Amino acid sequence: MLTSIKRTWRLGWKNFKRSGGLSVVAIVVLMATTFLATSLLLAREVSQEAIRDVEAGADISIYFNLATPEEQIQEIAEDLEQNFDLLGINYTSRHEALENFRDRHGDNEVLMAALDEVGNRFSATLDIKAGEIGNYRDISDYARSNYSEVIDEIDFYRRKEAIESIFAITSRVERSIIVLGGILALVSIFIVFGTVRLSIYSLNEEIRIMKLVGASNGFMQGSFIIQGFILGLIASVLSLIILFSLVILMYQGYNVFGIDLQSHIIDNISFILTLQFSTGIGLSVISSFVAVRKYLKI
Amino acid sequence: MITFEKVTKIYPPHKNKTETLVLDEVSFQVEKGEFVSVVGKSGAGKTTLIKLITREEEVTEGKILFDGVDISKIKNRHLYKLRRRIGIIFQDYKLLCSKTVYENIAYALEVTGAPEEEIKRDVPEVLDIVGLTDQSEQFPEQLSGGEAQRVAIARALIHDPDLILADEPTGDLDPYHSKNIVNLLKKINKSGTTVLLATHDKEIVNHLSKRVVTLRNNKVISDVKDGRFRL
Repeated sequence: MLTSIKRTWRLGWKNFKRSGGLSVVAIVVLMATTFLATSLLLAREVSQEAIRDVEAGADISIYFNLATPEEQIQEIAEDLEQNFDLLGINYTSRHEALENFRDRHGDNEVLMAALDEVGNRFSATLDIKAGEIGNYRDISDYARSNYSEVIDEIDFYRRKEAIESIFAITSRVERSIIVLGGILALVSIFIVFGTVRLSIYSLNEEIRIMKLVGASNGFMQGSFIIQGFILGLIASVLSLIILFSLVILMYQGYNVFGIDLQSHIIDNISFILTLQFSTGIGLSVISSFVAVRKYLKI
Repeated sequence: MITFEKVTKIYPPHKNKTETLVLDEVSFQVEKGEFVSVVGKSGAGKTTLIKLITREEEVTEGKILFDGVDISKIKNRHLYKLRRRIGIIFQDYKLLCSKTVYENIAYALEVTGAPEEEIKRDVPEVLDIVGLTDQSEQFPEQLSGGEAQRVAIARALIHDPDLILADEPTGDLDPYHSKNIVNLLKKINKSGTTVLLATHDKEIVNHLSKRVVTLRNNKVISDVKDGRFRL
């Protein structure tokens, strides 16, 4: 049994080598397909992570007029808590805002001198965390319509725009990857199919001899399916090398949307490997199987 | 051993041509250990008859029994079992050019999953039978026609088959080498292996003085023991 498996592999490898240029084309297309499959996963992860980050840090900041008394702001906070399902609400007084600023920029003498000159111009703020992005508009509208006389500014639109643009960009990228990936998957299926079909044609005489000396179907068919397996395996490995190299080069010292893609890949390495190899090898083996069923006459 | 029962073979239309009748209700029987020559002009259906026995082609009507088993009933995945009981020799030898004499014969064992020890033991034995021990490391293109055909015979013998099918084995050989090959086939037959020889070589058939089945117009027109070539 082991001898047969070894010989089937050896023949599959020989078929692969004999196909020369066509094998190279098949590998390149398969590589692009598997690369896109993983890219799709990573693009989705990047966008989700970015949105999570924006959402987690996202709050509505209500800036009050300088003259607004603390008691009134506390009342507004209680009112908002009663009317909306909030994850949290945090009051920062004008004094605390000033102290925070001093803490952050205390070593900047110019800034500190300017601050001493103008006095405390910081507003008291309410930082509100809403459960869902959609609630921000309601909270903002409510605060504006009921407390417009004490509110200086409500800041949430920028976050909303950021989230929406992340959504828009990533969904566009995802759609493009899916379409391109689909096309490439089809092309790779056809190319592997063609490669195996040509191998079968070019080995016509050898197959006939094999058949007549009593080679089992498994041996004859197996060698061509292994040829497909080898194509898929090489494509997956090369695609993985390119992916890792790109990630290492692109993310040297930088994080995109605050995401450490390298760590993400390392954390999900088993899933990424499974995806890579199942796409590359899966497409290739299925395609060779169909070619064998269609063209290898037993 | 082999029984043809009203076997008809019609090839379907190809490239806008009409269908071709190759064998028309052919019936005959070959007993175990017999040496039978099937003779007929080119296109008489001799090669098709051989391909029907190995199930490279399917019968259109009738049936072929191999040791009582209707071969058309054998499932595709079990066909190799039938083929391992048959050794085939072709006019053009069908040797793999990239392999040496030894490798060509060993290949027949390799693809059937035979262990290395068996290959190392059996290949030299058959090379000895066909008298090619000294040429074992040569490539097919370095051999004469007669030697190449003996390699093909060695490959056919390697599985110790019950039946040898020889399709015009002397077609490309001069009379001297033809006689050598036929003598080798006779020797194999003497050891108990059934031989079915398809040929249109009159000299060979007359030299053999064995049973002759004659095909003409797609039918068996004569079946004579110790026959001579007559068309």
